[in-house]
Amino acid sequence: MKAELATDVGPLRLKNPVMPASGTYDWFGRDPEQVSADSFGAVVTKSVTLRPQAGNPPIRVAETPSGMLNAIGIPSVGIEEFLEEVLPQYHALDPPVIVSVQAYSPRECESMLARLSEQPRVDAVELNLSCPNLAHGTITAQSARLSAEMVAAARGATRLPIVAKLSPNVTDIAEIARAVEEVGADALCLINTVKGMAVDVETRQALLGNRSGGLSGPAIKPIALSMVWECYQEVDIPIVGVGGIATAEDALQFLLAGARAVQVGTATFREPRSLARIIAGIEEHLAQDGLHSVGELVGWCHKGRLTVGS
Amino acid sequence: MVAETPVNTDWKIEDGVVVENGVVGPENGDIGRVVIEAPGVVAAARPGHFVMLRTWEGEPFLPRAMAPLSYDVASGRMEIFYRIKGPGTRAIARTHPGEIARVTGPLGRPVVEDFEGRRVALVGRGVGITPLLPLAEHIVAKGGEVRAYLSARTRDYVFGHDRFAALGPVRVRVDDEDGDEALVTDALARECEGYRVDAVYGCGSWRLTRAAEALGVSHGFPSYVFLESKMGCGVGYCKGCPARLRNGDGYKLVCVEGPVFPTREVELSDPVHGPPE
Ligand SMILES: Cc1cc2nc3c(=O)[nH]c(=O)nc-3n(C[C@H](O)[C@H](O)[C@H](O)COP(=O)(O)OP(=O)(O)OC[C@H]3O[C@@H](n4cnc5c(N)ncnc54)[C@H](O)[C@@H]3O)c2cc1C
Ligand SMILES: Cc1cc2nc3c(=O)[nH]c(=O)nc-3n(C[C@H](O)[C@H](O)[C@H](O)COP(=O)(O)O)c2cc1C
Ligand code: FES
Repeated sequence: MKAELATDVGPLRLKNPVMPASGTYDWFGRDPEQVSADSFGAVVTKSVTLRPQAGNPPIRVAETPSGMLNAIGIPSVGIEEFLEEVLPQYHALDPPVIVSVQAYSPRECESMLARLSEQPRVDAVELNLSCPNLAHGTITAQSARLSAEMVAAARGATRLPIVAKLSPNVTDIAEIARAVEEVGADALCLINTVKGMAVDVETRQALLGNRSGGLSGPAIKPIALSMVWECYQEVDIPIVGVGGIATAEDALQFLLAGARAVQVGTATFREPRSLARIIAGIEEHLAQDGLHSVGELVGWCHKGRLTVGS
Repeated sequence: MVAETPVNTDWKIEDGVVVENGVVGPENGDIGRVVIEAPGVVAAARPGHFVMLRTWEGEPFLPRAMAPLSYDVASGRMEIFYRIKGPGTRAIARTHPGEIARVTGPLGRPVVEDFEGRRVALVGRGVGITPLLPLAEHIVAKGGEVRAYLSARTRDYVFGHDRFAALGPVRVRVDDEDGDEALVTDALARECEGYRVDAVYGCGSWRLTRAAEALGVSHGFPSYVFLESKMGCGVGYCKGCPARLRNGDGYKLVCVEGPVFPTREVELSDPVHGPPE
């Protein structure tokens, strides 16, 4: 018997629970056979901004033990060119398309979501809240109030499913999670990168052009797992887990901690076949354990120990 | 990102095998040479292409970009020279024949100009010499002429010298014999006087590439540069490999829009150590 890989993330139906993390995969109208986005549970775009922006000066990436730092700065063609030139290419793909949106204010968020709602092939939006809020000079995702304002603005502008992507750089992730759930987020995406930096001894300066950056990769997996676990207990909306997933076993850990789906980011840079391997590995695991569906695993951690032989 | 020509998505990931690996030149030198069998990637490679290479499990997490000196379709092998510097190249240096080498490629935009009847100067230094050999072979195969201007710390590091010499005249300048005052581009400057040059390609030295560009400007031929950048993915996903555009107009991505650029488009300076002195 073949196990059921399909999973629901709120109103979104996915054929399997694995998708790329925003900013770590791109569909260029074609794919190498070994990558094949058609096999993904969903496709997530690189974050798009309202107006075009160039991104940060070099150096944009640096390596760290078990991961990397990035200070890419979201180069973006802006929403209008995105809708005209980039998005139509995604029509060729089978999986649902989730557009990641980075807005610097609730008003920007409103106007981008209004435009996205008119599009035929946008299946959901993911709000990247880990960016400066220009009206307040702070990071949106670091304030429950600002995060709720952003999600509320989005909710008012669209009926598309809204995934709120939260930052781990906070004292109490559950407080932010509850705040965005209350104003109508359909799902949470946990987590974005962890703030960090690297110093170049030779130049005696920060290595990254933007000085600090975001840590990703296996190094942050324990942080991401604990945040998924905590939010699962605190909110009812589904969770998409992300942070350091490189193998099927990593993905299973997130499902057990309470994620209904997972995203894979930095692992793709090391091994572009990562998503395909993780999907196959999850299927194998379900079959081995005699499970009928992915859903049976979701949140198992919270139910107590699996006793041997049961 | 909307590119002028489509992004290269014709790459594959091949689990190749290390065939030979060792230090080149002085026993405790810092340059290694590794030969990898990966017939699929080798068969598809064109001049200008590069590969992402990972010969290790575990750390470091990311593969390393490498531009092979040669691709041999008959044996399915590529030959890579690497400067042993940080964790990635130290890991390559520890690799033994028979071990797996994961190769993603061929990557980037190949050089596809028509070279028939064209006279091309190639200026390279150190491991930056390597991507010039596939280009030299291509130019000659297409009915063009090449002259190579090669610079290195010592003679051992003038990679592929004899193979360049089989294709056309070669001028060499090495630090330990010739000092580091004179530049190998001085020879190009002299030869430009009596010989028409149609284009120059530079790699491996900002100083030499800037000198080559200046000659191009004064003699009216275009110049191109093979750029390097720290890379996250090598395939256009991470946006981590920006080349600064010269007009201050933002960036292009080295991995998908390069690695070869017309010098008039990009800044010829080290992103770490600042603008040209
Ligand atoms: C298209 C392309 C082709 C290449 N071909 C070759 C080749 O044939 N042979 C070869 O030896 N190398 C080649 N490189 C460079 C190679 O990819 C590695 O960056 C280099 O070998 C260093 O890797 P590492 O693991 O030894 O050291 P790392 O630890 O990665 O780097 C060593 C040191 O360099 C610094 N550094 C990292 N990135 C940059 C940067 N962008 N600019 C300046 N300093 C930086 C680091 O901070 C560190 O101090 C190529 C790069 C590109 C983009
Ligand atoms: C190079 C790079 C670019 C990223 N760009 C974005 C982005 O545009 N929007 C976003 O919401 N997250 C972005 N992220 C964060 C990832 O989507 C993900 O949340 C994070 O990297 C943790 O997952 P990982 O460890 O699997 O990479 C980026 C991460 C990396 C490494
Ligand atoms: S290295 Fe990732 S986009 Fe160029």
